[in-house]
Parts: sequence; structure tokens; C-alpha cells
Amino acid sequence: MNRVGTLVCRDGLDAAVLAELPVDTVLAEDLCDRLGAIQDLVNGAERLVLVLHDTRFSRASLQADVRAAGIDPLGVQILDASAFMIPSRVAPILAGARARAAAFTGSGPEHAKPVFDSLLSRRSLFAIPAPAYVAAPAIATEACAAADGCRMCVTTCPQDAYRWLEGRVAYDKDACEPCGRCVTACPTGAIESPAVTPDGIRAQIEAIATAAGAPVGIVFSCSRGQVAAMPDDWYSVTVPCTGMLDASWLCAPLLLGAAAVAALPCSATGCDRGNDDILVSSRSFALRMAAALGFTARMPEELTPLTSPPLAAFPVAAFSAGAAPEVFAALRAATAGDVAVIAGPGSPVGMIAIDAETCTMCTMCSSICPTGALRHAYTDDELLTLSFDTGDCTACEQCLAVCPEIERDAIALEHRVDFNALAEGRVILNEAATLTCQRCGIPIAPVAMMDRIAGLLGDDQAVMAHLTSLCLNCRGSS
Amino acid sequence: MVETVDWAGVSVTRQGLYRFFGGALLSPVPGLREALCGAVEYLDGLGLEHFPFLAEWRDLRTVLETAAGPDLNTEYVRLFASGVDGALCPPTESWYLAEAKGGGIATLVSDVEQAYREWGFSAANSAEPPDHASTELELMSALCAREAEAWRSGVTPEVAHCLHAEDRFLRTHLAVWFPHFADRVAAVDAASFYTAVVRTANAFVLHEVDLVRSLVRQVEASP
Repeated sequence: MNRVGTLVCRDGLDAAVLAELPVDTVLAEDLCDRLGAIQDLVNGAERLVLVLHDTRFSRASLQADVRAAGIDPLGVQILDASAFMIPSRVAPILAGARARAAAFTGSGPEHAKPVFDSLLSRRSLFAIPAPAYVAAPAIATEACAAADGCRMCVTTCPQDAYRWLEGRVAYDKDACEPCGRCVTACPTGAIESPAVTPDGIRAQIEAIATAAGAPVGIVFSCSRGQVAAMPDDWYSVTVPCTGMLDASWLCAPLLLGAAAVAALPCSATGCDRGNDDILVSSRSFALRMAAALGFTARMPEELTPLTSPPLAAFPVAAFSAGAAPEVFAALRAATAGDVAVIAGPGSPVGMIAIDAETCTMCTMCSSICPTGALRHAYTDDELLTLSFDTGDCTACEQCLAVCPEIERDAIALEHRVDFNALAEGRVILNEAATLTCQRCGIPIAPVAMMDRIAGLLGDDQAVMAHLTSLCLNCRGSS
Repeated sequence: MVETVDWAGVSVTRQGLYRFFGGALLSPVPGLREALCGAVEYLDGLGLEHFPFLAEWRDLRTVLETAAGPDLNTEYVRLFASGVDGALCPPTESWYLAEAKGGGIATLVSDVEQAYREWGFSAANSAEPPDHASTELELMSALCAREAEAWRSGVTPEVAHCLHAEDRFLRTHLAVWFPHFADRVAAVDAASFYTAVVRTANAFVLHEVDLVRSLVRQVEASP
């Protein structure tokens, strides 16, 4: 675990607040006015939590000072000391920030996006400010499913920062306004941002809940907006944009020790991203889940003082790709709910249905499926099977986009969490006999697909005979 | 509070860094390590803490200062030149991109030379081909020198012109293949002097792509 230093600007903090600070906190007089002193104060810490009264500092300059001290500035947690006016909130806020800083795994040059705090006029061109750096996502190419056709990041990104190019994804960091939506949309978890890692978010929530020693509410807020004052028992967890939260993110804090959870839309924080609609959809499904499992009061519209104790904590791998089914199943167990199916448009879990009459078993759907929820396989007796596991489905809908028989309803996806299906695991959705090459014996194509082609070709039996007797290789050599 | 920066000074720093890495990737001569140590000391005083590749730079400094290591010549030949089974990681653009770009090695090298000619440069008649890492880095160094001059003279279109040229060369050539080269060096040899040089150079080049593009945006967007 990384060693975290806590550096607090001492000015104006009363004795009650000081008593709440961890023993290894470094208190510095006038720190806000002499941030360059950070280098001398961090005492070899690898990560840093900084508590300042005046947050109108130069980001570029602060980052340079932090970097010179050997600390990655993208992992520094900066807190506004005004949040420390209530002594009982000090320990949970600091514990959360320290845990998140400790979980920071570092960033590389691929994650650092230079930004300028202001646009210039041509007249002031020669006084361009120093750039500061914000955390941008990066693609782990070994986990990316673009080669199979996946383009979730391309369709999700509101800034068109991703382009799909011949089986790979090109990412334009310059166009990216890091909002994190690609991070949660990526079905394989190939897109990572150091600003919002599953471990970091989990650690922060757990630390807040533990340090508070009383029921806490967790409110997700975005890093660009202004968070208004909140009740004493609610604590903010910052994400790049609340539009990135799917329903499982909105539920997971309840499994990590929080008694209630909320998320602030852009309109509530003055952020200009305008992602309210996306959050509404996720929240709507989370509320359906809450209603079905009987914990609606834990997802209040307004941040009101808490009345319920937390649920029993469940160690879930929340906030990572494909974690939603586990989160929902754990929530059902924690609330002893007996509901079997919860459906709605914001569900991050999907259920596929195949119409055996119209599906030709072309396997386009299983070939593009980035998580392997849909799979095809040949059995020993040359039967082609199409199987599905809802526990792996992220409802990305890419199977629908490629299905050539979609107009005949060969495949359908319902956004729903089906607990029985989750327990059941992988099931066979369809199967078809295959034609085999009369010369070499390898499978050519499913019979259903050839029947469909025959239907489209009409009476051209000669062509059909040619297609169905030999495989491509043998046709080429005949 | 907004801190302004002497961008001419930044260009000079970048010019120095390009030259440093270009020189480090030339075939080694006696005293190279000492010369690089001296350059590191000089560049350290130019405000590198403002850039996110500082961590890699510090690692490189440690490698330079602490490890005597094997003979640089042997290491260079093994990795970048002939070696026993041919070069393990050729430091030339064409080796990585000729096939992908189509047209073969000659076409690609010709493209690179064309980029040099646009700015009145030509690759010196040396052992290194025009698409060698050291030559491409040297071109970027020269472009940064012109950019610094433009900042100092206060001619906005000239600054924009230089930045566009850097952006184009990075995005068309250097920054396209250098990460592949760095990956290959890291895979072949995780702990050599040249691994540290290439890793740091790669971090610098990646940052250059972002910095130059954002500066271009600033210049273009200025009302």
C-alpha cells in the first residue's frame, strides 16, 4: 500500500477540528500562500491528501511542486477546508480521501491531458499560461475487443474522441473531455482512467463508512460542478461526471457500508456537460431495484438526514466492468428479497432471446459479443450451438446491431436482471445441424442459414448445390 | 490564479530534450555516458517538473548515474544494429510502419525526407538513415529551435506555423512508430541503459503529441 501524506493548511482551524486529524498529519501555517513548500513537507510520502482554504491556486504550479516532490499529481486528493467546519465530518472525509489516494496506482504519460485554464486572445498569445494536466482514459489494447467489432466507446463518447478503424480503436485525447462514460461503457474493462478506479472508489466509500461510526449517505458528485452544503451524515465521492454512473454504481455503496446513496445531476451542480438524462435512466433502474427489494428510502431524491442503519456489508467487486450482476445479486441477498426479475431501460444487465424460426445461426452475434455472454460452439456430432449467460451480458446491444435477421426478430434483448437466470448460468439458446464439406468433411454452414439463402435465391438450384457441397477451400481447389 | 510561462523557454527545453534523446540513440562514442550525465544536469535546471514525464526522467537519471553496466557499444549493436541474428529492435520508422502504410521502405523514407525538405533540412550523410530515431528526433529539435525563435520575435503566424509542422511530423511519423519501438525494446530487454533511454524518450514523445496539439488549439482558437 502506498504511503499517504496528509498536508493541512492550519489557518483558521479550531482545536476541535485539529483534534480529529490523524496523528501523522502535517499542519502548515499559510500553506495556501506558499504551496511551493509542499516539497519540504511531504516527508517521503508517495501519495498526498491536501487540505486548503483557498482553492484558487494555479493548478499547473501546484502540480509541478507535487511532481518535484516525487508524487504523481493525478493521484492527489485536494479537499476544501470549508468542509471541515463540522468536527465530526473531519475524520470520515479525511479517511475517505486517504484511502482513495492510497489506492491510486499511478498514471503514465498516456493518461495526462494538458489543459489550459483559460482561452487566450491573440493579443495575449505570448502570455499563454502553463498547462495543467487532467487524468484522461487510456485503452489497454490487450483487453480491447475492437478486433471483434466492438465499438461501445465509439458510440458512447459524447465528444467523438473514439474512432473505430479496421478492427482497432483510435483515441483522440485532444478531443476528449474526460467524463468517464467510456470507462463504464467498455464491456471488457479495457478503458481505464486513473481518476476513477474501482479500487479507489471502493476504498473511499468503505473508509468513510468505517470512520464515521454512524450511518452515512454517499453522494456521487462530479469533479467540475459545485457541491452545495449537505446534511452532516452525507459524504461526497467525486467522479469525473455523474453521467458515467450505471445503476450498479448507484446501488453498490449500500453493500460497502453506506446507509443511503444519491448522485447529483449536472443541473444540480452547475456543470455544463448536461448529462442529466443519462443519470435519470440509470437512477430510474436503480430505483426499480430499490422498490423491488424494499429499500427505496435509501435512494432519496433529496439529501435528507438518515434514519436507517446500513445494510450488512458485502464484499463485492463493484465499479468494474461486468460487476453489475454480482452487485445486484448481493443486494438481493443483503435485503433478503425474493423478487425474480427486475426490468427497465437503465439495466446494465441484459437478457437475450433468440427466435429459432428466424435465426439462421450465422453466429454474427456471438462473434461480436465482447464479453462472451453469447457464444457459439460445435459439438462432436457437428451440431452448432448458440449459448448465453446473462451474468456476462452488459446489455451493450452490439449483437442486435450486427444481426442480419434483426428485421425478422431473430434476436431480442431485454434490459433486465433475472436472478433465476443469473443462478442458472449458461444456457443453450439455439442449435442447428451443419452442412459438411463432401470432400474434406469440415462444417460449411448451418443448415438453417443455407435454407435461408436458398429461399432468397429462389429456384437457382445449381448455385445452391455448388454452395452446399464443398467448403471454400475445396471449392477453390476444385 | 493563472501562472504564465515563457514559452520560448519551454521550446528551448524541448529542443534540448529532443537533442538529448537523439544523441543518446546514436551509435555510442567514448564518453557518451558522461556527456549524457552532463546534459541531464543541465536539463534538470530547465523546469522539467512542469511535465508529466518527470518520473521517467528521474528513473533515467538514476540509471545514468548509478549503473556502469555493460559496454554501451555491445548493447547498442545487439539491440539496434546488426547483432548476431539481426537487430532486435531496429530504431527506424520503416521497420515498424512500412508495411502498414503501404508502398514499402523506400516510399516511407522518401516521405520522411520530404518532411525534412519542407523545412530546408536534409538528413546528414551519416550511418543513420533518414528514418532513424536519432534523425527524426533531431528534426523535432530543430523545429523547436525555430519555434523558440518565433516566440521571441512575437510573430504569431510563425509560432502557429512551427507548431503545425511539429504536430504534423509527430502525428505522421515520430509518435506513430516510437511507442511500438519502445514496447519492443522493453520486451527484449527490461533493464538495460537503452531501455531506460527509450522508455523516457517515449514518455516525452507521447507528451509532446498532447502538448503540441493543445498549443495548436490555443493558437487556432485565439480570437
